[in-house]
Amino acid sequence: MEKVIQVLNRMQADGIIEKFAIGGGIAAIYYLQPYHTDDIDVFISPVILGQSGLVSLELVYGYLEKLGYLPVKEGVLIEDWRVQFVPAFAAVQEEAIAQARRVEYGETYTFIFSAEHLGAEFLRSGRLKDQVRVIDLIESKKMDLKVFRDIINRHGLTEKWKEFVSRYDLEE
Amino acid sequence: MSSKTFDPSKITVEDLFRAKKEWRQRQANLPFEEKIKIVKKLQAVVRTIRASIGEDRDKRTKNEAKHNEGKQDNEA
Repeated sequence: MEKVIQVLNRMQADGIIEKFAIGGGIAAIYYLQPYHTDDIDVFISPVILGQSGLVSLELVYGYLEKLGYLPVKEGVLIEDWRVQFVPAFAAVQEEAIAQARRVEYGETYTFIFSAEHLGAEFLRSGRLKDQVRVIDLIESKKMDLKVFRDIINRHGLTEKWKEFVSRYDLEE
Repeated sequence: MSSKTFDPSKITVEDLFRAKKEWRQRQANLPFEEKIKIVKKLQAVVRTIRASIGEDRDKRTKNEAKHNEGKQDNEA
């Protein structure tokens, strides 16, 4: 994984991506017990639009291809990791990138969503496996619930949170 | 745990849940790099299982399949 981080840092230094942070399963593993995941989700900001007006990852993919890293499924295979680049569409994702934690890894460093932003993004995403991670983050006590509530309130996730609390019989 | 202190007949469901919770906490407190090593091992296990049941091969792209086959050769 260190090689992936080095590649991401190089991409940033070369101006291919401006800001990025790791979210998703790998970020969850930073705070929780390890579990199986195939991808590294790298959220990038700002979102780059192509000539057609649609989101374009052409620059990212083209740069990586020159380094010998080829596309696989929705991502790019860097060394033995499938890295998925996720343009930050939602405001909560953008804020998660801007306020990401700087984390050392081997001889290098990277950026990872804070536990509170990760929880909010999982709540926003809302897939079953994401909901499980929200509960795991709460139970792990790695998440400051006051900060988490502030994030979800500011990003229009209050109703989703109420539904979530009700569904899983949590204390609000 | 020695046989003197371990008596399976005295284990309660609460003991099992507590032990499981403690294990998860210990795992969560591992250094990040150690956790990633565990993830890599889990990926290898899942790859082996998927290969043994013939799943996944068709779903992956050629690039990934080629890469993973190379890895499995190295692991074997």
